[in-house]
Amino acid sequence: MTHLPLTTKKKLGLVIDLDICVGCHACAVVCKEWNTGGHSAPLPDYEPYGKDPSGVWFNRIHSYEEKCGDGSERTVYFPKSCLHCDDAPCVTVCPTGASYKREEDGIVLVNADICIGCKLCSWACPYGAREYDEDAGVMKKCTLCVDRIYNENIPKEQRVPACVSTCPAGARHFGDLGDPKSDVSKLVADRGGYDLMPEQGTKPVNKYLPPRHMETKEAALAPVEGSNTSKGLLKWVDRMLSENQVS
Amino acid sequence: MHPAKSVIIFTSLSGAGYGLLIMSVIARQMGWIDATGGHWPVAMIIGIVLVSGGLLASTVHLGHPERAWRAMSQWRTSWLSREGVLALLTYVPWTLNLVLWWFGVAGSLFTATAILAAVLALATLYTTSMIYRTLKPVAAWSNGFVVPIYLLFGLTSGLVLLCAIVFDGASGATKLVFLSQIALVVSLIVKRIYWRFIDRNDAATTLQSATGLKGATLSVLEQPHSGENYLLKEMGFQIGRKYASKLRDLCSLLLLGAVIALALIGVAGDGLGAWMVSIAVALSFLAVLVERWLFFAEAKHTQALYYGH
Repeated sequence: MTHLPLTTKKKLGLVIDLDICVGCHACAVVCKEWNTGGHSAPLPDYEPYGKDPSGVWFNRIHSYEEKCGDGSERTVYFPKSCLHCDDAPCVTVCPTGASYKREEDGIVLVNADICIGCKLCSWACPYGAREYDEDAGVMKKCTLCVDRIYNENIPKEQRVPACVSTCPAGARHFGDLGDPKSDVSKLVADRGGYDLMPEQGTKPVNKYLPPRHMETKEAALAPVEGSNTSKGLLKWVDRMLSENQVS
Repeated sequence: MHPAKSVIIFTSLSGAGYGLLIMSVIARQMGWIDATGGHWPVAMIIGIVLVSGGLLASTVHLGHPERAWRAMSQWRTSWLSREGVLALLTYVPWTLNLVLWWFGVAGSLFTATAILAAVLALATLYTTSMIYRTLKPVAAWSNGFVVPIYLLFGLTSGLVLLCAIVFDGASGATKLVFLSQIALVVSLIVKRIYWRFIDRNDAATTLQSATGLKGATLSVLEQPHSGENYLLKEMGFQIGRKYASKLRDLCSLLLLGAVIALALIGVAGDGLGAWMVSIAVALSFLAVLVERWLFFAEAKHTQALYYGH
């Protein structure tokens, strides 16, 4: 059903902390591993041991170098997966209704039984969150681990998306971004979390926390006051004796 | 965007097929061709063959073509679904009109089916172009040029084809040839304006807005993977400016060549006239193919920004 729900009861999503992410790719790897079973299984790898390996991944980590106006530079690691947008363009363009947004929690999913693999949803997504599975002939995307977060067969503390539970630096958070009192909403408000490409009008639910500004002033000793009051010959001697000092 | 052969062939063939239907109906209403002779069924059948060939070609790029019938269901929200519904609906009055012709039924029912088919064909062309028009991540497509140009090229290629079909004796043949020349020139002018527009207008989305990193300079340090992926193959196509410029000039020359070929009909002798109009058809169709190829190749998708494109 490709009408977007008017509202959703919850807005489940991720908050990704660009200040903390170290680019270890653990989240990308565990996402691939979790999805060897369950809702979107299996995620294909083409020629994995061959010359030109490639495959379907839900989470890809980009790396950027940023030079700021004040001269500071930093490397930013940038994990990107489906942002489960409120106004998801991938849902409305789908001609079969295979792409849908759940009303109970806002998760955007693909019904692989009716998807025809026309790829229009991947064209409509400005972020590149959806990929085509050549083996299954359908589109696949981050499911927000829908088969994990409600899964009563695993312990309660593990009922978060696999990428969130595995991040060794604690750079990924999961929760209801529609609830202003939730931990993730408070984190976003506290750190100034933002949308990606707000001008595209997709109203993404996932938020990114900006890298914290770095202090770059150099430490320096204040000069000693009133040290040179000699005049004439004594001043010349002073100067000669101080020749090798860096002033 | 990767210029997929199946989509290029689909839009070119179906554009010409629907264009042929629409221009045939208009020509008949104007009295330039009449439906009692053999021209009418030839035009109708060629149109149906072109559109059907195009639609079949478009199913090639589907992962599950056997489920394609499901694409009719979401017409409330999806332009692709609307295109599917209208394409199928167009067949109904179109084939009915042919059946009526076969049984020699003229009169208002014949006219009604013809006009209805032409209106539905125009609506189908409109929905196809709206699929591209409404894709915000592609700045080269989400602008006001795309729908008129798509309609114009479809009608023009159909019109030139009609000239070839009715060449040997319709009363309005010279009028159709003249109209074709005007259509080809207008197509060329509008297309060049469009190319200038996409060259000069920067997209609103940049790597800065895509990442939220507001640094003075932002560059890619390394890619997420060392290999290729679906996103780059489908939407990371890059074409050099010089190469694109050469293809634009080629398209322009092909359109002008078609105009000249049509102009030479009047000058050429009896046998050569038919050759000239056939050359015009070939040149105009090649122009449409080049134009379609460039339409995809020159279109950038915002998600390629993440890869530094």
